[in-house]
Amino acid sequence: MKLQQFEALLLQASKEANLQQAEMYAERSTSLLIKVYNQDVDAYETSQQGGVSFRAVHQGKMGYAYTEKITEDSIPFLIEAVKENAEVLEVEDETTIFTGSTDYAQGDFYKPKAAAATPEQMITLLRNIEKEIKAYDERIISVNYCQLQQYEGERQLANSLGLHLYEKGNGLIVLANAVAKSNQETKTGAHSAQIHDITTFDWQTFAQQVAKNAIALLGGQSLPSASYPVILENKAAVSLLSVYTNAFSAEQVQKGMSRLDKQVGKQIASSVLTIIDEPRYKEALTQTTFDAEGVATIPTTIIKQGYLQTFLHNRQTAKKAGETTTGHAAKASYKDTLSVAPHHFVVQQGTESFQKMMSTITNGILIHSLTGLHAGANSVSGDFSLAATGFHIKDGNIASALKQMTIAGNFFTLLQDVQQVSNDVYVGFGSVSSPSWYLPSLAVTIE
Amino acid sequence: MLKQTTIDNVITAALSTGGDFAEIFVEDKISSRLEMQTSQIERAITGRDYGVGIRIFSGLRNVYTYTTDAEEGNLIEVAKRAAAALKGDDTHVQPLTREEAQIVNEITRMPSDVAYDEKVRILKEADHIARAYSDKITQVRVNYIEDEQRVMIANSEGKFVEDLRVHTRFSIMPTAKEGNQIQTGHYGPGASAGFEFLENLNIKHYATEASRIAVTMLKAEECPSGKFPVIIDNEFGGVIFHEACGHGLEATAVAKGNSVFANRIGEKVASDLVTYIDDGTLANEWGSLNMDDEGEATRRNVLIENGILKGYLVDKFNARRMNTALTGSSRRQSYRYNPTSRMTNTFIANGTSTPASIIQDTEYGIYAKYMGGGSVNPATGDYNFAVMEGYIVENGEIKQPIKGATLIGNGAETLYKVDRVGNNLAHGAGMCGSVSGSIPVNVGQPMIRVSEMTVGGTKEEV
Repeated sequence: MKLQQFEALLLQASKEANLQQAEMYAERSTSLLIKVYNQDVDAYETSQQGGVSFRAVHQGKMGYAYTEKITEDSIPFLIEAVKENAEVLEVEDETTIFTGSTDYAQGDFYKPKAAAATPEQMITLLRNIEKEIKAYDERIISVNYCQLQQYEGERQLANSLGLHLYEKGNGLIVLANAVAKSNQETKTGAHSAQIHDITTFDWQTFAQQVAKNAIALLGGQSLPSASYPVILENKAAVSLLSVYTNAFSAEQVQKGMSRLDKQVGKQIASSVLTIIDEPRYKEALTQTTFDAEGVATIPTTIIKQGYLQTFLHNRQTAKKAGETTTGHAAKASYKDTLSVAPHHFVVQQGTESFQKMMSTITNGILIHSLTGLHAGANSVSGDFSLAATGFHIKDGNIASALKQMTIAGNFFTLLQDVQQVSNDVYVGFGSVSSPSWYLPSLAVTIE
Repeated sequence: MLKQTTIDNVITAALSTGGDFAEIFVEDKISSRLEMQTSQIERAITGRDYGVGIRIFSGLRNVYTYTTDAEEGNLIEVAKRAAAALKGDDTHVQPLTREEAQIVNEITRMPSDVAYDEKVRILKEADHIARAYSDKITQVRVNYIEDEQRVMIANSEGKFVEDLRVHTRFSIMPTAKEGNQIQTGHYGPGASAGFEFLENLNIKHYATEASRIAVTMLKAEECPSGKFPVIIDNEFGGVIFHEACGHGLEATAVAKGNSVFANRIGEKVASDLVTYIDDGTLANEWGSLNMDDEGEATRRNVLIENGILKGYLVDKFNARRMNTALTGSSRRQSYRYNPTSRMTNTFIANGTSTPASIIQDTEYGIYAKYMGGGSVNPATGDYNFAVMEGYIVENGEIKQPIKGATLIGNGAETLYKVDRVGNNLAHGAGMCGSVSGSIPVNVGQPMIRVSEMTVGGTKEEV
């Protein structure tokens, strides 16, 4: 059944069931994923998927349901589930559906060149990359991931107040991971990139970067565990900040789950930090013109030179706080109820280069990557203790790789401590982009 | 879930270009979730996942496709498009023979038959108990999840099986506050069982423990950094071996030689005290399955016995590279994922030491009572995991609580350093994320001691 037809039937059925405020939110996507291993096509995956999220007000409360089965028999299922789920809610829920914003940004996010890449071109590119990685250095023993994903996605929202919104995006992403071995030491290095045009993509530089990332970590030394001046390389800064973006959500604040409660207007970070949430950051993987309840999205300054400007709001949290929505209603997917999330936090870059920033350090540590963030970082308390890879900085230069290590501290303290950010913004695939951060002192433990 | 003629037609289309094996996986899953915060039900959602995954092998090529449109015409079209990635002639298809799955997980009460009232009552009880524990508890989040997943798996070798997987899980996360300090505790037991799991669950124990953790961590001191003996308690403590060793024994990593354990069957890889088992047949355990996601009966797989490597976890595709038998370990989050070898309920078998004697024998070290999660790089074996509730052990006694401890190390090295294994084996529920998605698994162990681990804290080396 066509989605349009399903939408008409669903909204009609809601009306008949006396659900006055009803909204359908749908996502659909197609994708092609190819993996090459030892020059062979190791995996070839195609998909078409999507689903419908339905919510409506019943007995004064908003009930939620979803389905991936777009057939007529799903309509009574959705109606009944929404009623049942509304009835069980106890919270005073004054949520309503939205009539629409006055202005929506133009959203042409379709990249015809990314869509034009053929499976043959993709396979050739992957073979070239794999070959180049292996040829880079004899210590590369394997390329355990070498994959490309081409995707197209669309989202739409329709409600009983007549609001109809639609947008579409697509992309092409390459990811490779190499294994390097020397003596008894094994290290891996990864790199990923968004490809705008497969015919002009500089795959040699990309492949060399993968190999370099793995080789660079070989020969890991140890240092005494202590507090060191630390540079959090851009990618690592992106990983760390990603865990803590929910501290800026008004929903978390209103539940007493954010350390930033009552801090709007106050200095919560070093004056070198300015963070702007950009719903249409042009380098990001996804751009959007409307949030998950249909509110037009606009850039929002979150931190300005260290001062907290606002929390992120949807219509419900804004109403509770007596403010207006910032257009941050979010659903992780159509399977989710409405919450609050950033679109894309961009940490504004500084003026100096990464090299220049590093040159001021006589004995310090460069953190290249962080892992275990889902477990080692408490998004509420701010405490973190995370496994890391990185290098010893001596007299302004990288002296050697270091063995596996941990960095530990508190994110909210760390925000205040940032002494400098460089001018090397890394565009994250998720909802954060950032340059590298210089921290004068952080606890580091090395194996 | 699909007509037999549809299955036949789709498999035939999938093998029209020379594939030597094709499989169709149909999934219809109804899920409900409830979330309580501020002592009220704040979120309730019900939904249906529905889709079909088709995979085709041709030697060491693996083609996968999935769709949410299960109309026969679309499935044949999708199968043909996937088959176009291969080149060759029609392959012979075996007629389907219906098989009955073994029953590991008996279900007494289907969660969807139970009214919300009964579920809400249990969540409220938990909320009440957690808040009553201390006036420092300022917020409590209680979640309830139920899934009823119906699957049908058929392949070109004639396999045709159906299964019903039911999961219920309860989790509680109290927040404790004192001054500027906020800490959280967490407990999340789950089972491959119906609502009877929740009915019989000792809510008081879990709610009290979760609050106790949050309040205890408020007064925790900073964790020292350095290398110490580490005692890891039973149940979810098993996450260390899940990361340090389990992932490295999955064919996903072993088949291509990207694991430190590859090609080492029969070799000594761990201390003599270590016997490591993956068992998908433990009745109603969170990681148990009647059959895996390619229709193979689950079984008990001894991976390491008294320190000697005995076996790996092997799925159908990787078995082609490894030339070994299947172990009933092929799993996927949903029809959206190409299945691969994964863990079910994985645990260290009981040893002979009593927990009290392990503590008493430790002069100075860290005692990790409850673990958070962790992760591993299977290619290097480097792992990390977080301690949710930890203590200093000094002169054989448990002393002050510590916070912010992360344990790092290398799986292959840590296995040799296990110098005590207790006799109090227990399992804990978790979600494991890897290439074929996020799946329910149990980790388990008795209390163990590792003679030396790197502990990353905020306090300088001692």
